[in-house]
Amino acid sequence: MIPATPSTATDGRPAAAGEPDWLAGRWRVQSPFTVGLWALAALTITLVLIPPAYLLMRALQAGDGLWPLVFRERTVVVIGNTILLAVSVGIGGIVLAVPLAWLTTRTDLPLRRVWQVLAPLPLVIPSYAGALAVIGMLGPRGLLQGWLEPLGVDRLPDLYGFPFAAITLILFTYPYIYLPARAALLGLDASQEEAALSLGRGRLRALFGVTLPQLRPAVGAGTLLAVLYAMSDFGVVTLMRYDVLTRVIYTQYRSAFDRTLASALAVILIGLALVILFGEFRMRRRAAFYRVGTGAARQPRPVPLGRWRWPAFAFCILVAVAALGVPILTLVWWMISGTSALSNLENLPGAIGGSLTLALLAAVATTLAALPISILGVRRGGRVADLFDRLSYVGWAVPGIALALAFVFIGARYLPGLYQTMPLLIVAMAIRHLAQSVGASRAALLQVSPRLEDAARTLGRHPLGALRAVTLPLAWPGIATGALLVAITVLKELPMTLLLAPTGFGTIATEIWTATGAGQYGRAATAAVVLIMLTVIPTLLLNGRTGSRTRH
Amino acid sequence: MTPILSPALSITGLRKRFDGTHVVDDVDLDVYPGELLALLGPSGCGKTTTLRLIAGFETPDGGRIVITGEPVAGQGRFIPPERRRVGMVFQEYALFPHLSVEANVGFGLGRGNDRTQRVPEMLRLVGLGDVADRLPGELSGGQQQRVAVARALAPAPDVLLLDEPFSNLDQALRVRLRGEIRDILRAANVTTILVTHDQDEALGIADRVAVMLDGRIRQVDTPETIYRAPSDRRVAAFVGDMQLIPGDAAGDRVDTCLGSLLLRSPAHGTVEVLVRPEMLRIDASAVPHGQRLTVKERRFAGPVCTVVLAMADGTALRATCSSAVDMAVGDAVSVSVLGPVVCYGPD
Repeated sequence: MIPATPSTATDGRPAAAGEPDWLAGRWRVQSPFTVGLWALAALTITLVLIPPAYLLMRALQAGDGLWPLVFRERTVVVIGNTILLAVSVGIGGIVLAVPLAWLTTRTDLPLRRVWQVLAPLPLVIPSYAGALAVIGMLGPRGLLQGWLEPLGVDRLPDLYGFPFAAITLILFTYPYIYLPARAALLGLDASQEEAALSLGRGRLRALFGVTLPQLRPAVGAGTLLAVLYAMSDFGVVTLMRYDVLTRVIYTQYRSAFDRTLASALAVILIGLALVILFGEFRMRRRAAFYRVGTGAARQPRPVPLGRWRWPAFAFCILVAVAALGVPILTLVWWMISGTSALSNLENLPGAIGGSLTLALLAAVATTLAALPISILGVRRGGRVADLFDRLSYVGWAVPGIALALAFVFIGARYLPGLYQTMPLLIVAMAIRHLAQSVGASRAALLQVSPRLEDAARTLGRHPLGALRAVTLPLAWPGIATGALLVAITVLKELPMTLLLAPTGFGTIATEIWTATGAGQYGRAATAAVVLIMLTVIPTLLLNGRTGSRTRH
Repeated sequence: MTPILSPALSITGLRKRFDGTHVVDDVDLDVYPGELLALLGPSGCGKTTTLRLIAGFETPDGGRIVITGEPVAGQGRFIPPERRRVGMVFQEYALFPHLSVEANVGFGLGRGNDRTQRVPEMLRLVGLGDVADRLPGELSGGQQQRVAVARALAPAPDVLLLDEPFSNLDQALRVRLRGEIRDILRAANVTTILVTHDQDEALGIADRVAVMLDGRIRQVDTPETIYRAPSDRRVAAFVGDMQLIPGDAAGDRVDTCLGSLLLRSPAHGTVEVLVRPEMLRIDASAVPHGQRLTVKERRFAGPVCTVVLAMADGTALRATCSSAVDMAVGDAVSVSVLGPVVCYGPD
């Protein structure tokens, strides 16, 4: 590997041709191709850093006036709410996800294969669509009230606020914990549990003493992902009318003339998210140590559940009904029976077109922006390349609402020509989802031996030609998986589209938002069902792909 | 080889540092047209870095590399790998897994006539005409290696580099393929550098061997000379079983406990004489001029065995002999030394 810093030759020989020896040695290797990669990567990273930097600057401009604003009682309560919600979602997610993961991998649970398919599926339901379903079912004038009406119940109590925001988020984010927990369980070698048993431990003690402790890094990393999601969530808390940072930032932005407070709150939110992300980084690094062998760990015989078999089965049914059955049936019921449904569908075709266009363009843009960073990280290495790789995660730590707010400010002030145009929206999307794409393309590129590129070079291809003829065709499946992941996330994205989309441009997500705001639940439910159908296909594709990879 | 020809590859004063240590340290090397030169050294001696410097994957910190008269590195010049006309066969072959054998071999060729004729020609040369449509993953290790050689040879490179090409094969296959590859290279008449850490491989396949230790080339010569007259103790120890006995040199002869021996080149004073085990011929029947040795141990190893002998003063000597010779521990024998010897002065 080539050291990143040039050092002068100390050999004492005079260099010929009037050029210093080290110049010939070090700088000539940076071909125009490499220089171009560095330039593109640096540009992308600069774009990633601008929004949080701008928000911070904007907040600090208020000077001494800032602190009274930030530390007034209401702000402190909002921050408290945010943390309470995030922590609850983390704990609730563990309670659902870890037993599910263990039951579906290690036990004689009835219909184990069915649960393996169903358990991660709530991921396809955007959490605000889930919130819509919960309201549609249990809300004051929801389905349940309709069933109870003959009994004289004409209104159910208000379900808004913390408990329902938390329950909704738990139901639709627990797969973030379930998936890594399951992967870790599959990666553990059966011999460890067997060794514990042979040392005279009971099954239960082997489980708690040997198996579960080893899941800690994977479960920890997954939990922090769920927490980060809850903290960045905008749709659920708005529908459930629970005052956390994201919702208050949006209200401030809509109502107040002075946007200093919005900026300050966004900076606080970013700070919280960074703490979570840092924790996740460390957890993940530790998780790597625990991975045993090459993943082809021998699977142990299933643990007999005995008389717990049917209660465990009931638990699985309960989760599936709550996270999948009820939301989907409620949405479908509203779609069919909602009086406002059929008369208000004129926006839907445009919204579907908008969603697909945005998802496609954002996925392509994000992938193109990610490639220089991942190529440099994998092929060149060195401190700067590593730094770029880390910094690509900053966009992910900036919750959508905060990122959108930054671009609203920047666009309105410095780029009026770009404000509320597709290019700016796509740039914002690319920044937000860069980390997903860098991660996926990085993993894909690592699979391609650098010797293959070397071979292509000796056979007469210049670096770009070698990349095109050899590396990209081989890394393509992994890179495409990353693009698909970005596309799915963009399909479900709400706040950035809401704030940054050109006038008249709508997506299914904004359609759900508008319809819900207008009280047209049938119209909203129809859009939600369409969105779920759109996301379920690529998600199943992805699951199939990663599933087959973990099995090898 | 006749050094009257101008070298196909000429390296002078080549240096490369990583993290402050000289991995390649002032290397001079000339390789002549059509020659197969083995660059032999233990792992970490800098031989692979030298190869990568020649190919253009690394840039030297000093010195120059000239290929067929054209400077490609050093003195302010750096020609990238794709314009050096250097072919390379990688240790893991680095075949493109998504391309057929045919497409792999044709990768370095332009489209058109050149390609349609050259690819079958190359496949015939390596004896793989019947697998042109297969993917590399469907081939055996030996077949993959021959595809890699054909691919590197197809663009008719000025110099071919082989990086430990046999290390991924099992022992029996290795020996067979060594001969096959040697014949292919000879038929292609290509100037070749083969990097290896395996002495048998280097000595058995190369026209000349360059021994590299700690980033420096210690000796370049024919395999026979490298083995029988290593330039110093470290080369002697690396290419074979080194056994030194004290001696007193005077001109072209040296006096030792095994008698007066003929030197390859004159020396004077107190020296150590290299006596490899197979240079000692054991004579069990007669005990001439006084020197008596006793058989201490006989290590049987199939066709040959190694016999440990003790001299009158207790010093041990190892000798190889045919395992057909009957000998028992405790037998009294005498030995004679075959051929002229080399000696090394005090350090």
